[in-house]
Amino acid sequence: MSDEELENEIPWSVRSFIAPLVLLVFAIAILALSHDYSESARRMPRLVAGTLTVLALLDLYGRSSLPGHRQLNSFMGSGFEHREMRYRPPLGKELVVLGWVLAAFAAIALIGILIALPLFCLSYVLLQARRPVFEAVLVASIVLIFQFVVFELVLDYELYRGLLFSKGGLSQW
Amino acid sequence: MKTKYLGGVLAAATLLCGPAIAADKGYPLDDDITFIVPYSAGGGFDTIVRTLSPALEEAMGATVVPENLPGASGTRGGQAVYRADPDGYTIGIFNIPGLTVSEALGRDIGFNLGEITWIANIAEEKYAIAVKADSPIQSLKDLCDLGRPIKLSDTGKDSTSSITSVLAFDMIGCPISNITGYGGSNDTMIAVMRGEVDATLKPVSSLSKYTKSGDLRFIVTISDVTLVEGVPTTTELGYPELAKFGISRVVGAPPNMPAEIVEKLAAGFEATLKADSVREWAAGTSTTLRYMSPAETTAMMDELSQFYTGYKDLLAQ
Amino acid sequence: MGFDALLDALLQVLGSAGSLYLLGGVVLGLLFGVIPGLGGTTALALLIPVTYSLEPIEAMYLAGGVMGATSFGGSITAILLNTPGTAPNAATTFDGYPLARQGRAGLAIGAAAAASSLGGLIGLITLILFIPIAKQIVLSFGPAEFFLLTILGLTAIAVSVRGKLLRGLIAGCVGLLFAFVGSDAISGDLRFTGGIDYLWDGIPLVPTLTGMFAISQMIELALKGGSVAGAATQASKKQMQISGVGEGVLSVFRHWDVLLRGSIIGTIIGAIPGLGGTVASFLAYSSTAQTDRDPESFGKGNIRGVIAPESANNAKDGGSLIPTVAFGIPGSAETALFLGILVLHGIDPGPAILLYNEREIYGLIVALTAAAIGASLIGLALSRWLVLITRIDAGIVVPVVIALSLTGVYVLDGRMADVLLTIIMGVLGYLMIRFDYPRLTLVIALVLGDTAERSFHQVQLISDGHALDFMMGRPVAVVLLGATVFTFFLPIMRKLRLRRGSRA
Repeated sequence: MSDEELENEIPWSVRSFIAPLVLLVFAIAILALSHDYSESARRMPRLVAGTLTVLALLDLYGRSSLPGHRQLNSFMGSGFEHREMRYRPPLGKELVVLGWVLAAFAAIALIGILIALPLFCLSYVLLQARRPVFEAVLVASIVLIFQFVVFELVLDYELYRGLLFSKGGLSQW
Repeated sequence: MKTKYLGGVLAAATLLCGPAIAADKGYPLDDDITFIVPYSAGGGFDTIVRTLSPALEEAMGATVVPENLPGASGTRGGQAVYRADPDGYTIGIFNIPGLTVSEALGRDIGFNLGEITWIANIAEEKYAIAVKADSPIQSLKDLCDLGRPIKLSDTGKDSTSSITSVLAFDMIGCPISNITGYGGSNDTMIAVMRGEVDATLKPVSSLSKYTKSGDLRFIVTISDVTLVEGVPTTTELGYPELAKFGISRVVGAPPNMPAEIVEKLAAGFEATLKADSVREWAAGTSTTLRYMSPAETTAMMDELSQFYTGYKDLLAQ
Repeated sequence: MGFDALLDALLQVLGSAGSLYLLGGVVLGLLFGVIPGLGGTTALALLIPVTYSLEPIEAMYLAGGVMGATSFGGSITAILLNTPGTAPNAATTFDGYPLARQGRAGLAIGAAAAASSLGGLIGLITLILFIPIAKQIVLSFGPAEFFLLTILGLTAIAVSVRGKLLRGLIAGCVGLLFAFVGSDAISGDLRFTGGIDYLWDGIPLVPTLTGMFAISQMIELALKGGSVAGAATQASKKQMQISGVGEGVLSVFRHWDVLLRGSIIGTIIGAIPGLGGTVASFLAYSSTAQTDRDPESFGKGNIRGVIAPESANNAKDGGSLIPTVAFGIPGSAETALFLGILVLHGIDPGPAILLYNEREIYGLIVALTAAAIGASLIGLALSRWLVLITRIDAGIVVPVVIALSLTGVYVLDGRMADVLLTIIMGVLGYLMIRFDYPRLTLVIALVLGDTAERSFHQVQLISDGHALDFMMGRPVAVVLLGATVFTFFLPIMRKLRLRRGSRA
């Protein structure tokens, strides 16, 4: 496969400078933060953050079209020949799925594990996966029964009740 | 096992009926008493709480539920006790003087130790210094005469034993190099056996396991009375002020707890510590049980706070 | 003496109610192993209150059943969903999941089952043989050896991410930096906590791992749609349901060298308090992949890549009892809880534990052995249905796995903050999949970072600044140093040899 074909297959965002730049900022932030720490507390973080800075710069270089980037990529294995995720989901769909995960957390936080998670399963199977109602109810009840029997009943463990139904609010987290 | 399931079903039933409303009358009959352990299940604090709980249940006539709230060096559990209602249904065990020292150093532990209602002191522990069994060091004097800072092993700079080492050897007048970072107190003792450090300062009961097995040897106990046959105490060696050091397992409750509830709880603990099951357990694990009343415990806490605040500068190094 | 006690313990298990507790432990262990976020440590911690009403020996059977069964349970999820059920199964995903996607999940499960039970057996035999010299073994691993072991582990990271060296190293650096969050082990100073007291004790492993693997993998699967083995052809689907399991079991005997290597690495790493199964199985995997004649086939569904970590994974349980019989100290989080159960029953574990509590220790050994084998047998019996998971629609798998792993993370310590961290790590993990940075190197570095840093400082302090001289004076340290150098240079030497070969 020629270079051009490969590049066409790999989404722009993956090839772009975004990821290494974020890492570079992260490394520099760590270096700055550790500046005030005591000698023993900052030695290792500085060493590693320094290494990360160098590696992120190499990553940047490998993504450029400067001379030698191809040799660098083949030596450091920084090409994209063995990608883990080979398809390209549309951004909207990505955001929707991430939204579901965050919604699951928000629901747990508010109404507790025992109610929120079966509800999450029910609505996910119905709305996101668009499966029949009886499947959704089945999945939700399996999750509910599992949580209740294993934890609340057999192990006598109280699962989180949610901010609405428990005292102490965020301090209990 | 059957009662276990029944208990679960009952608990579930009450749960479904919504939160029970606690009334002041008839304490402690209305609700379970939550006993907060600020460390994970299976540790020293957890063990003592779980051992005491059945006897405490009997003494109080109410179910006692130990609850582990680990995190943030034991302060998360302390905060939970501090923020609970002072209705007698939430109590906790505290790491003393660990928290006292943190507070004396001006660290934010998330609550004020002085505001906690102290219920009882349940156990205490004294320190000793031990060396490798075949070490040429025979006495505290030998240890000080090494001609270089004494290498000691410890878990963390903030640990009670490490703080005791720093203060005690400062009072004795010997320079030390405290090598911290060991995973647990057992690891610090094994470090002595490996020979990478000269000695370690640890609770007598922990060390005695290894002196009995012939791996370690006591050179001094940090106490005013003889704790181990044939081992000198620091008071005998002329350092009486060192006898103040030790660890206490103290039970506390939320601030402003009504006096009658405090009394009931304290009486419960007094009876608990006399129970056969607890005494038997304490003998098997070389735990020193020592009951102190609420007033005595509060006085001890104030005294400790003043003591460690006095060494603030030395500890802040 | 040892074998008499062993036989006694064995007869007792078979002849009494003990076998019921054992079976209960195995079932619970399998269940907790399969669900990401829940693991052996959580199971034992939850069982502590339950064991209070039991006899110590019964408690041992229960604990042993759980300990022996979780790691095989975890391998099932690792193979079928690319999500390690427990932390030590992370390395199993490398080759187990590609096999599942090719519709050969049965083969991988069969191999994992046989490798874990045989690995467990080898680990326990090694333990019994080593009991007389257990003290010397524990004493020969000090801060210097700890430090070198972590360096060896970090070097193995570079080797394991074949073809993604640079981004693997970057992820490793990020993992190390995550490990430095919280109070510094030496000075006690707080670092990078941003005023959040949750971070005082550092970034915990289980929520990170669960987020990085379970949550992020489910996000990926939700986007991809279909099912895990969706790409497999019709013919292989048919095959997947029926065959492969027996072949997988046999493959372990065919690759006995991998089994033996994995078990030995597992036993040794297990014996060292603080490193644990994640490092053991990872080192077993990387050393197998690295010394193989065809290293390129790893990561694409090589059965040897399943056998190595799974055998190490169960062998480590035997190893983790070495410090326990030597000094009464735990070699792993699970043995720590096991000792906690003993203390609860008024037994004070110490160096004399084998003298006074022989019954309990051998009870645990027998329970562990029986559990490792029993869990595998149950797993094999169920494997026919288990592989069907790979054909269930993502729309059902995704919410169930997310729900169960979030529950698991909460139960670990009863902290909602852990659940929040899991979500954050899940999103980060997804971004890593998307932008092609390997996740496992981050997790391994997080495991190793803390030990690496603290032992480095300790060696400096102990040796009065002459760290290298100090290390050279210790035989185990020299061996580890050699292994590290070998690990680092072997791939380069192989590359050179290949180049020369192609030129000739």
